[in-house]
Amino acid sequence: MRENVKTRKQRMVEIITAIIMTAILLISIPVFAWFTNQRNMAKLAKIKAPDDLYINAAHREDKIHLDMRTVNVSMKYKTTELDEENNKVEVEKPVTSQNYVFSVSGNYVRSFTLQMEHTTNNPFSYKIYEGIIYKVEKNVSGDILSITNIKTGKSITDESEHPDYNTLNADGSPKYVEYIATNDWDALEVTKVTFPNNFDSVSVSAGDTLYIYVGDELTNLAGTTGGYLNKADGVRTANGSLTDKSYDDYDNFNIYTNPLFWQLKNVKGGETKSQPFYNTYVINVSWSPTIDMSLYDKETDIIYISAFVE
Amino acid sequence: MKAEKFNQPLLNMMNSPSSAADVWTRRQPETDTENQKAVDDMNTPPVHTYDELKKIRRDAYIKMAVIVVIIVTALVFGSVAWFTQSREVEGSAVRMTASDLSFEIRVAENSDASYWSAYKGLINLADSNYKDGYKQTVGEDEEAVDYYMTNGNNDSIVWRLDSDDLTENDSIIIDGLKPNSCGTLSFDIIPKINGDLAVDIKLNIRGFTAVYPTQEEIEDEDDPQDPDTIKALNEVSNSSSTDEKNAVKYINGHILYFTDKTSVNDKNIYSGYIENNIYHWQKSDVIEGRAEPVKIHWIWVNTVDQIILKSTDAKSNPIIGDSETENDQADKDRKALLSYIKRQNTSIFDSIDLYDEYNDSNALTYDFSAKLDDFSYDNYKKDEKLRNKMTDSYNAADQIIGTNLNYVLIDMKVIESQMKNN
Repeated sequence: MRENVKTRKQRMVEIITAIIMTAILLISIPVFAWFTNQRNMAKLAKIKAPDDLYINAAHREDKIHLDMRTVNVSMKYKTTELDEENNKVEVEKPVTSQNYVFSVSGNYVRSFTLQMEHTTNNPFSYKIYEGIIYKVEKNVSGDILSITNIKTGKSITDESEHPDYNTLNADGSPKYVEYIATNDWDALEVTKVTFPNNFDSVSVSAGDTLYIYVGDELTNLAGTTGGYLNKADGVRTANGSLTDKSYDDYDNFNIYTNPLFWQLKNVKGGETKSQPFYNTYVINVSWSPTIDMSLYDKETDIIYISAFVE
Repeated sequence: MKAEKFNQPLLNMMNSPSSAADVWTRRQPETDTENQKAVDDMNTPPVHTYDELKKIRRDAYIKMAVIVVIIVTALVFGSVAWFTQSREVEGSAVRMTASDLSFEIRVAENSDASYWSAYKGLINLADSNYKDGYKQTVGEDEEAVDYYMTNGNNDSIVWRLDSDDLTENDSIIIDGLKPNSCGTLSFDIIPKINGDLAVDIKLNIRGFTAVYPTQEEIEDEDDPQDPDTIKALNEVSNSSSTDEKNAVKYINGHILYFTDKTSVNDKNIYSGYIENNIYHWQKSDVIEGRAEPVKIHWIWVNTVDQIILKSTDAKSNPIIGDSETENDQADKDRKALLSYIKRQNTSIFDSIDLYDEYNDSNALTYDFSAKLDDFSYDNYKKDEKLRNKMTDSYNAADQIIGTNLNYVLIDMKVIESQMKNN
């Protein structure tokens, strides 16, 4: 008697639940179908970073100030050496390299490719180093008062503290390149890239003396140095692999005019994404001390430097 | 004793037929206990046997089943009726259907699929929801072409690259897009019905920034990473910087879509401008399973001159052909593009306010925004200041795109639509 009543109630609950579930199921199926009522396809494309890079003279000055004229191969420098009896003797040695400064500047890029192309009329070797710019304060009599790194603002007033100041390389070239600023740098807009005020820690005006210190050989983000694409080991001239880039099918040309191509990819660009940048580099042109340069005619080589974003 | 009592009146009846009434009157309970018992009998439910109970239960089940079936049938008929409305409804009602779409889309795989694994890897970094698609090979041996199709389980698939996308020195995935880049988006619509088919093809560009290894990761001795490996592709969202959000806005504004492209004197001429980046495609005689190819041509317009000026203007290099008669396609395209520039100028030109001019007392003397809202071909040609400002701000927008975005997804949605009368 009581049993029957209970099950009847229970059954009513079951029936109602079943009806509700069925209704939900029926409604949810068409709604689900409605949501997938479209088809999608997507194509991925890379955005090429704009190529707002410029080759300038030292410290982003106009490239007309980039001077790579005469290489003087007959210079000598004085140094002390130990002779056979271990006495200090002053000797004269030939200078075997010369440095030139250029910079790559522009709007921020994470990295860029640096290329150098040159002919081989002269028996020179070319290497690119990082450059660090110091501003030099001199007094009226020409004594150096301070040397300040214009990026970090750190000053070196004591000559002996600067490890390489006024010392020469093994080949007699000074460890720095002197450069006289020709413009007010903060106001320079020749590259159409606007550098904010006080971009450097130390401001530089026209007439200021700068010492560009020759740093390490240039390496890229991965730590590798650049290399020639078409130079055989031990041979001064270009091998045949990229000749068609300059001469197509033509093969009647002076081998020394066939340029060597040097390239380094992933060179570090700017520091901050929202700011422009400039990086200073030094090209070191060197020749072997064993070559008697007086036997060579004066020759001219053409050097191209280019920077672009891959 | 009871039996005797009942039997007695019967016996009496049998013995004296004329006294039937006596039988009934005699049947009245004669004592109180009998009375009570009768009342009790009426109030207590009857006792059933086990078989009787089973029968009752079965009847109940049958009744319940009948009710449920009736309700279910009513619901089913109701839903089916609601969802399968007449297709001749006027206006822009979206047709909902409880069944599958009337079409699928498919794309052919390039004959040289060596790009695929790197490409798929990058797309996964950008958005992992895009699947490979359902593969279908058509043709045999050398003529076999692999197609990848959408279906119910693969409603979002990767758009395979074709030989146009991968041209040497101009690959969209290696060299990248820049102003003046152009290409074609090709795919097939596979109808699943016969007769009328209409779809709306919506194009949208999503922007991403790449995350490269840090200097520590590059210099790590145990596991040095290539500085060019992309570790992540982050989508530009509401929490991204203003420049990044603007970059996505500008690239959607600078890339234009057309239905036709021809080559005239080695230059590309476009026609059939797709307004609002929604392409309505329809056909009245589709056959189930027969592929309908669709081509949409895109171009990242290099300068504003190219959209507004005509070939008769000096140094113009327009992307639209010359208009021969009034209201021909070229004329319509030009008008539509002019109207587009006016309406959507904030998505095309950067920092419009920067180009305003003020006098010494800080009063506004040149309102660039107002000029953009209401300019024409004539005043663009004659007003050199307006033309310069429009050019500079357009180029500034391009610069923002290039410096803030590393990758983009050209995302296409194909949605079923209604046939339209042109």
